[in-house]
Parts: sequence; C-alpha cells; structure tokens
Amino acid sequence: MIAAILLAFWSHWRRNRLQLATLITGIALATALWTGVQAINAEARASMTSAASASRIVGLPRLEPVEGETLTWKDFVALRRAGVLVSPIIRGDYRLQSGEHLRLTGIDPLSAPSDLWPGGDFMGSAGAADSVFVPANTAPESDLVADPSVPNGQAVADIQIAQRLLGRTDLDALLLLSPQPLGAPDPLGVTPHLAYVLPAETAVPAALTDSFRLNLSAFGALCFIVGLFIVRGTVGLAIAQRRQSIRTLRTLGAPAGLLRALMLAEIAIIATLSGLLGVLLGYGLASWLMPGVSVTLDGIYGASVGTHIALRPVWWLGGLAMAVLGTLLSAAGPMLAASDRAVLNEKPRSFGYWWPAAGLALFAAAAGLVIWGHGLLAAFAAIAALLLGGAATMPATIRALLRAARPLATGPLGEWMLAETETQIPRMSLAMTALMMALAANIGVSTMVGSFRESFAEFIDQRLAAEIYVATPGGAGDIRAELSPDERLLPLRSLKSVVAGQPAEINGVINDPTYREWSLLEAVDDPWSTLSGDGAIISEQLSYRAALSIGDVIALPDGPATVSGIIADYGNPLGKVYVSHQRLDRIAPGLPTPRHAIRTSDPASLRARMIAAGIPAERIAMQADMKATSMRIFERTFAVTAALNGLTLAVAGFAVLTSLLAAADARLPRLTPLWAMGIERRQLARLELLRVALTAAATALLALPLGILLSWLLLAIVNVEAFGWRLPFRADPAHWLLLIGVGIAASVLSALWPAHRLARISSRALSEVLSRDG
Amino acid sequence: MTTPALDVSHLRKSFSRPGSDIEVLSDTSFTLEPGATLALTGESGSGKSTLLHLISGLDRPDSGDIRVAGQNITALPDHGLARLRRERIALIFQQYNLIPSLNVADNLAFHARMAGRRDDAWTNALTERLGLSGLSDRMPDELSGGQRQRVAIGRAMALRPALLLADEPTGNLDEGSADVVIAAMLDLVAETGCALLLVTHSERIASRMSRRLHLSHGKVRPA
Amino acid sequence: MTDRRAFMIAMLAAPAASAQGFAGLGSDAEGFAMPDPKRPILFPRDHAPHPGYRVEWWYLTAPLIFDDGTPLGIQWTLFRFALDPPNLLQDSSARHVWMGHAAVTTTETHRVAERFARGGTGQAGATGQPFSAWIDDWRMSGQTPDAITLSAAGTDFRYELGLTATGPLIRHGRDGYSVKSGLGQASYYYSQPFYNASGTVDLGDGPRAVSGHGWLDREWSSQPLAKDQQGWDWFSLALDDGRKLMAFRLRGQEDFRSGTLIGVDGRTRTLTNDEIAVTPEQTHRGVPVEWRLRIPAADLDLLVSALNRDAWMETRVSYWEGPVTVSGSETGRGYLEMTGYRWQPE
Repeated sequence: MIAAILLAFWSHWRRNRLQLATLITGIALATALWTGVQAINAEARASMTSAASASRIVGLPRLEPVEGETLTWKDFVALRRAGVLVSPIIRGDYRLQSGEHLRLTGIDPLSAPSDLWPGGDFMGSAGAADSVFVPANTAPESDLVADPSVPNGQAVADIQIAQRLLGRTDLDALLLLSPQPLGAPDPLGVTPHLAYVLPAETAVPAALTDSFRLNLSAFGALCFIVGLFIVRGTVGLAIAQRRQSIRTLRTLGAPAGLLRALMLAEIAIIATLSGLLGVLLGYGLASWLMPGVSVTLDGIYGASVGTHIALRPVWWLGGLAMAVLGTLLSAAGPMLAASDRAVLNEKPRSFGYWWPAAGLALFAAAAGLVIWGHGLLAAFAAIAALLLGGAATMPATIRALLRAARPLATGPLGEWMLAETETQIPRMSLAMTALMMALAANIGVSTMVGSFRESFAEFIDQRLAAEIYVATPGGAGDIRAELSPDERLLPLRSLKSVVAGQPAEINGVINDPTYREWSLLEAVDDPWSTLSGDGAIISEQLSYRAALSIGDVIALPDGPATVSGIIADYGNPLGKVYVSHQRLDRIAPGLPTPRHAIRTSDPASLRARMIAAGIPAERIAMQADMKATSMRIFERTFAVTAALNGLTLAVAGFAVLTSLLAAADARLPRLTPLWAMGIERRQLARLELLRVALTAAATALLALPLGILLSWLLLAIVNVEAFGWRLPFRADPAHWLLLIGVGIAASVLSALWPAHRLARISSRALSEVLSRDG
Repeated sequence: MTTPALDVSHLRKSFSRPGSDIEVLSDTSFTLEPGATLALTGESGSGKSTLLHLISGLDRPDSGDIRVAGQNITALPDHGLARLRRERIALIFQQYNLIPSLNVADNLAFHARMAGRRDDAWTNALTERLGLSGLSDRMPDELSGGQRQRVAIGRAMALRPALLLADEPTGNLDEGSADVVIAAMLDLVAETGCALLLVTHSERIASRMSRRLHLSHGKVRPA
Repeated sequence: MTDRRAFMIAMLAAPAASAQGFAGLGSDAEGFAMPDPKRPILFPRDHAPHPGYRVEWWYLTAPLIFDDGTPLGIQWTLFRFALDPPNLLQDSSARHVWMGHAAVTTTETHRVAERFARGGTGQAGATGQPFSAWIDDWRMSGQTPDAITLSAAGTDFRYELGLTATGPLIRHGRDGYSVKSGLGQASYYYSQPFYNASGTVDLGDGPRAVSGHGWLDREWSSQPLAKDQQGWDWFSLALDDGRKLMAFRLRGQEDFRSGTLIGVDGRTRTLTNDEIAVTPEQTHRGVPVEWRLRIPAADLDLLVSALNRDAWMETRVSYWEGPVTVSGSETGRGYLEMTGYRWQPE
C-alpha cells in the first residue's frame, strides 16, 4: 500500500514539474542565503580571532633602526640592561617544503607580551617550543605545528628558530612593552640609531567589524524567513492540487495517519535534497563574497584573513538542519490539514479584524520594549515585534491604500484594476509579506550602513582635520623650526586612566579653532573655552556607560571637572575625556607628546620641508591618505552589503513568482469576462503586470516606514546597547526610492512569465473557461 | 431591405483531437434580422457553443463568412474582433461571468463604459427594470443565480448592442427565475431593437423565441 | 632539538602540582653534573656559575626599615635553568633560561616584578670574579660577595642597596653539600647571612632611605628535590642576639627537615630532621603565615609571623615570600619562603 501511495504522490510531482522545481528552488535559495551568510560569518569570526594576536604586533609601538642602520641582539640587550622593556621581532618570507609561502614572525616568548605566542600563552605549547606554528589548514610537515590561532598566510616561531630559518642574524624591530618599569630611561638615549615608530592608527576601529557582523547575521535570518514564505506558498499550492487524490486515496482505505506520515517523509526528503543543493549554493555565494569581506578585514587588521571558505560543520550542518526543520515547520500545517479533512472548497483565508488588531498590539509591544526595555535582547525583540506587526497589518493597510487610490482611477478598467487588486490581496499576502520583509530589511540595513558611512566620513573629516600628522618621539622642536607663521602645531597626547569607574583616555588639547569645528552631541555654549576652567568634554561612550550628562561632575586625578560637552567617538572601546593641555600637564607632569598634528595650507610643501630637515618620512602621515584608506575599507563593506541586498530582493521576487504561478489557474475565470467584453489578451497580460506592480508598490509604501523604523531601532537602540554609541539617523530618500523601485521591479519581473503565458493563451482555452459547466 | 443583424454563411469548423479531426460545423448558414429573436437548439456537444463563440469572435472558423450588421468579421484581426465585442456584441453565459471584484452597479455599467457609451439614465432605468435597485452595492458572490443573470442582462443591454448572444442563460436557474430572466431579456431586446441569438436545450425557453433552428451533425435546420 | 625547551616549559607551566616536585625540580637529571659529598664547596671557585648543573640560584632577601622605623623587606632572585645537559659541541651559555624575581614588601603593599631571558645574549648572566649576577637592569655585583650593590625595578617600585658583610660565608650541610631528602637528593648551598644593608627604595613617590641586614643564598643542583616533594617552607632568620638560623622543611610523603644554626662568630651547627620542629599556627588564604619553630637543642622556641600576610608572588611560578618578625624565646627578623601552596580566594 505504501508503494502505491508513494507512486500516487510521485506522479503528482511528475505532472507538475514546475511546481517541484519551485519548491526545490525555494528551499535551496533560502538555505543558500542562510548558509552563505553564516559561512562568511564563521570565517570572519575565526579569522578575526586568530588575526587578533598577529595584529597585536602591528598595534604595538616599537623601535626600528633608522635608515642605513641595523638592529641586533646587542641593541636589544643594551636596552634591556638599561631598564627598557623591549621584545625583539623578526619577520620574513618562509617557504614550506610544499612550496607554500608564509609570512614568518619570530617572537621571543620570554620577553614578549604573553598573548603574542600562538594559543595565547607560550607555556601552553609544551614540547612544541622549537616548532614553527602554522595555520590549521597547512599540509603537515615535520617541525610544523598546526595551530588554529595562527592566521592564514602566517607562521610564528621562536625568534632564534626564525632567524635560522630566515638566514638572518639581525632583528626587525623591538616592541616597546607597556607599562615600562619605574624610572625607565628614554630608549633613544640608549640606542640613538633606533627610531620610535608608533603603530599605524588602525583605520577602522575594530568595534565596527562587530557591527558589520551583526548586520550579516540579521541579513541571514531575514533571508531565511523570506525563503520560508516561498516554501509555504509552494507547499500550499501542491496540497490544494493534491486534495482530490488524497480524498481518493482515503476512500480507497489509506489511513489518514499513514498518509500524514508519508507526506511528511516526502517533504523531508525533498527538503534534505534541496537543502544540500542550498548548502552548495551558499558555499558558492560565500566564496564569491568572501574576497570582499576578507579585504575589509584585511584593511582593519593589517593581517591576511584568507579568501577561501573552509567547510565548517557549524554552518553547513546548521544550514541543512535549518532547511529541513524550516520546511517541515512551514509545510506541516497545510499538509496535516489536508490529510485530515479532504475538503475541496476551501476559501482563501479572509483577514478578519483580529489580524490588524494583533498587528497594532505588536506595534505597541515594540514601542513598549523600546521605552521600558533594556539590553540587546529587548532591542531584538522590538525588531521582531515591529516586523511581525508590519506583516499582520499589511493586508489591511494595502487594502486601505488601494481604497484611497480609487478616486484617482479613470475609466472602467482603472476602477476594475484597483478593485481586482484589492480582492487578490489574500492570495498575494504571503508573497507580499516576503517582499515587505525583504524591503524593510534592505531599507533598514542600508539606512544604517549609509548613516554609518556618512557619520563616519564626517567624523573622520573632523577628527582628521589637520593636514599632517607626525610622530614626535623626541619632541617637536625640530618640526617647530620648519613651520611658517601661518602653520599651527597641535600636540596630541593622552593618558590612560579610569574616569567615573570606566577605562578612559584623558586627552589634553590646546586652544585652537580646529576643535571648535568638531560637532558635539550636546554641549553648553562655547564648550571648548570651558576647558581653561574646570570644564571637560567627554565622549558619548563614557556618558552612556557612566550615565553622565552636561553639568555632571567627574573626578579627574587632579580634582573635579564639570562635563561641558558630549562628543561622538565612533567605534572606540575606551571612553574619552578632553581637558586643556595645561590641565593634562598637571595631571601627568612630563607626559610625552608622541604625536603632533599640523594645520597648514600647503601640506605637500611642509612634508617636503620636514623630510629635508631630516624627519623620517615614515613618521609623517598625510591626512588625505589616512582618509582615503578609511573610506576605502568602508566602501568594500558596503559592496558586500549591497550584494546581499540584491540577493534578498531576488529571493522576494521569487516568492512573488511562486505565488503568481500558484494562482495562475484561478486567475483565468476572473479575466475571461473582460476578454469576452472585448479586452485583448495582451492587454489583460499588461493589466496583470500592473496589478502586481500596484500590489508591490503598496507593499513597498508600507515597507518604507517599517524599514525606517527598523533602521532607527538598529541605530539608536541596538547599536547603543551593543557598542555604547548612537549613530545619527541619516535619511537617504533617493536610495529608499531606488530600493522600492528595485522591489517593484523584482515583482514585475517575476510576474512577466505568468503574464507572458496569459498573453499567449489560446482563445479556445479562454472560451472554454467562459462556457465551463458549473 | 435592411441589413441583417447577423448573416452566417457556409461556416465550417473542426477541432483537432488526438488521432482524428472532428468536424463540429459543416456548411452552416442562417441570417438574423434586427429585432428578431432566434433559439438555437441541439444535443449536448452538437456545436451550439462553438457556433456562438465563432459569431462573437472568441474563436475563428475554418471557412465561411460571418457578417455582423453587414461587417464581415472573419477577416478581422484580433484587435478588430475585440473591438467588435466591445462595441457591437454582448454575451450572456450560463455561468454569468460577472466581474467578481466589482459591485452590481459597476458590473452593470462596465461594458457600456468600455465601449465609451456611458449613459447613466439608461443604466439606472435598466437597474430598476431588472429589479436590482436595492442591490447596487452588492458583490456578485452575494447574489442569487437569478439576480446574477439579471445583472449580466443589464450589463449586456447597457451597451445597446447590435447583437445579443446568450449561451444557456437559464441553465443554472430554477423555472421561476428562468421565466423572469427570459421575460426581462425579451422585453429589452424588443425595446432596443437588437437581435438575439439564444442557445438552449430547453423547449420551453426555445418556444418563446420568434424563430427556432436546430443544430445537428454540423448543420442547422428549422426546428 | 625537539624537547630542548621541554624542561623550561614544564618548569614554568607547572606551579605546585606535577609528578616532578615543585616547579619540575624533581625531574630526572641524567647527563647533568650531580653534587658530590666528597667534593666540598671551594671559594672563590664556587662563586662562579655552575652551567653543568641543571638549576642554580642567587637569592638575596633583606628585612629592612625606612628611616622612620617602618619595617619592610626586599627580595632579589635570579634563577638559571639549563635546557639540556652539557654538550661539548655547543656553546653552553645559549642553552639556559634565566628567570628573575624582585619584590618589595611593606605592611601595606607587596610589589612584584618578573623577568625572563634566554642565555647567550648577555641579557642575563653571572660571573664569579668579580662577583655578579644580572637580568636586564637588575644586578647584584661587587668584587667579591663581601661588598655588593643590588638593584631592581618593576613598574611600581625600584630599589638600590649597598650590602657589606660583617661575617664569614657559611657552607651548609657537609661543607656545602646540603641533603634535601631521605633518598639522598642534595644540592650545593652556601650563604652570606651577615650583610649590613642600606640604600633607597622608591614606591613611586620618590626614593626613601632604608637600612637593615641582608642574607644571600647561593644554591645549585641538578635534582634538588625527590619526586614526591611538592614544596617547602624555608626560614632565614636574624636573631637580635646576633645568631642566624636557616631551617627548611621539604613536604613529601614524609617531611624532610634540615637547618643551620650560625653563631655570632660564624661557627655553624647543622640541624637534623629530629632537631627541628615546625608547626603552622595560622593560615591565610590556604598558606600558613604564622609558624612555631622550635630547636630544643638550642633552647629556641620561636613564633614567626608574616609582616604582610598577602606576600604572594603572582609570578609565572607562584609562591609566597616575604619578611617575617620573630618573637618568643628570641626576637628578630627574617624571611620566609613557602612553595607548593595554592593561593585561595578570600
């Protein structure tokens, strides 16, 4: 009997291959987007963790030989014996027996900060201290130890092993450890042929990457939900078409329980196969996007992150599980119902009053969570409530929009269009919910990313206002001599401290117009001039974490200070306090000024003058280069986001196609009366396209406020909860319009084929519908 | 001599079926004068509906001519046929084929407005005469079968067509409703002077038409 | 070369617990030189480092007072560990790892610093004549052990001391051969307990004058502990009557006690297992910080109390070390070192 039932099931798919293809494609696309995003995320997380130790080296201040000099063990010993804590490093190209080239870093685990050694603590790697540590995916060789903490393309070894492998006796740099012993001398007094090299300012604060990954995760989840709408639509259609055969099977004595079990088994098998396909597609998607992601991370960490995707069970098994469970979840309802009561005439669900009511309740819940909720979880719950509320109120809202548009309709066809579109909302609502979610997510996330970019660009413009930045380990006397009267020198120095119980940096600034151009989030009148008194300007993070506002008093090491302004400081994990240069002198007498900024009208000439005066070129950073680097990294991040945007919309478009195909047979009886009254098939097809476009437009109109609210939640709630700073909301109506346009276009595109079929349908088929017996 | 509202001559139509072709109409000819009513009867599958579809331009004959108010429609391109249906011919079906998304008033005025012949006084009069006055805001699925068919008649007559084609218009109605519908239809046909071709297999209905033709084996003959 | 650093790793990675005694000091010593009772310590030969032995240390502790009389103590320690047995084909100095510990302890604070260095670079090392030992800028040096200077610094302290001996060098055990277990584990061990010390200690608020006395220990061996010995309690006390007392207890399956009582004139009496009784009186965070120490043969019944009970050395090899005050049948000051304990949360 089972074989007979299965044969009956299978014959359905054989006759409806398009439907099977839709089902498989829907599940596969949903799985692909989910796994793709997860794969990128897993890779990025793994790479960032391992890049962290490598980047520690990049991030430490160091001494390097000046041009023409070499650095040897002698210099290291001289400095150590003078009481300066330094640790040698050497870097070079290392070729494995397999021919692979790695960037080998030699570290002295005895003097280095403990987290530089693979796995964190060199003591943990007993027995392997003489080995070369290589990335986990390296082909095994003797004396190589694969270690997951070593970034791709890198190798780490004890410095003497590294010297032997690289065939060198000299060193590349001496890392300056922090803190130095009490009374440690100026290192340049001990080794004058070395120069103090400050770490390159990391172009994008690392905290921003967390935000980026948060974006990716949100995208993944939304993509999957959109995919499930496709599945539900397709399964619903298949069930409707199968009702007759199920009824027949039941009259022939097949038990309902068996039918149910077999149907679930059937859908589970389809889901597994489609899920596998989806995982493969996701792998392809991730491999396609990963270079962009890796370049982004590369720029952030200065360490190679790797562009290939490793097959990590965490995402491919997870993706497959999501595919099967998600499919069963979305398909089980209609399936079980079908096997229970094999009724033929099921009316499309009408939306009673409780749907919009539930939606309004969800909106209220979202608002409540925003007002009274705390923490990231509440923020995400608010987002979920907002989106679900949007979905629940969508049919009623679209209906209201169409009603409102009626007076605009001229002529019978226009009126019919609006009326017909309205009556078709229940049939389209699944697909339109998918479209709305996709659009809202796109508008929300792209507004967030766009706000990010603008705020960041503005932030960089203000903070990198000076045209030139110079490392000044030995003071700025030699630079001051090169300046013309209209050029101004701004000392940049800070002291790590604890303010209001939070780790913070106290910065001393001189009175210069540069600072007055910085826009403050909140401030008293002329806040910068309060610094000459007891005023202090604090960063938003500090104000948020320590619950400080204007007028509050904070304790600084030399006494109290009154908060006179709050300033944005994106992506900085530390809090910041700005006081006057003089006050920082009181707080930390003799604190060196490792860097200076210079305001000049002719940066190129000043740079040339400074180099001519013997200031090493590597100590001079030009503002334009720094800005360009920062923005370039951001643009790449956006490229990845844009690609994902496009894919989500494509999936939503596919959901629309699925629902249109499902409804195609039911459409004919509604259209043939018009044909009988002299409207040509081609025009009917155009009207169908118009109807889909109209529905999509109404959906998009609804998605717009939803997306804007979503972005507001992301910027003002999630970001604050997760990172401690709020991003100003930047409206980008042009981009919103573009997204809405793309959303409508995707819908119309997916309606093209059904419309094309309608335009080509034979008149006999149509006239048969007209005269069909009841 | 007036031009006939409908002139069908030597019409042939066959359908391809797997294995063989079936000739549904072979050399069918007849005419219908303006204001005349004609009942077309025949067995199930005798080709009554096919003939109606050919006349209304929903389908094309293999050979022969169809003239509607003197115009040979067999030579017309698709958009010409569509225009003919939009402006000259009205159809009434057993299945009513109302527009489900429009209410009674909009359905009633729809065809006339499509033809650019909006005439509110006439549609109002029709609404009243067809007993639909209280139903203007109802949707088609809220009406009984008889009410729906009266809306369909109203929609057809609002156009003031040259030719009214009705395909088993009472097939789904009980006798009482059927009589009301037929009476209303004949009244309006008489008043507007259009010609009516009505397909039916009901003797009772057929007997109320001024002429009767019987279709059998692809040919018509007076019943 | 694969396990060249295995010893160092084991030494550093295994505080207190392992099958090789505390800090790996009970590991097998195959290939290394072993202390020999028939070969006594000779000066000045044995002031120099002994690279043929696996482990060696220079240890200076000094109970001091600030010029206002407030007590404090400083510790200066340098360890040398050989990574593998001596080999004629290699430069021997390169196969050593050096570890320095320095601390300043007052009643209020206990500040610690730690340094590591590989041998062969000059970053750390030692010589016999002149007498010196150093790691980074920490140094102990003089022409002979009779007069030395001592300095060390951490991020929150710095000290510089001059130490002058007022008595002879003391060889423990049998002419410096000091037995460490019932199984015969032993080390070479000599001391200079007669230092007068003075100098400055800076706790971040400027150098302040200090004075007191100091005690130097030099010890070397290849397997100083039996495998079952998990730690020790070691006392170096300067009694106010001018006598000095060194006593230790090695904790294993059976305790092993030994010591040296040093007269004012430098004459010594070796104390055996049965002549020493030590009992913990008070424990702080799992570590005994007050002891009763009895030497009945010398009529000594002493209560030894920590100056600062929180003198735990949070170094990679961690242990308790700090100044102590002596009361009871005699008064005095000294240093106490306890290894193999676990510093428990308060």
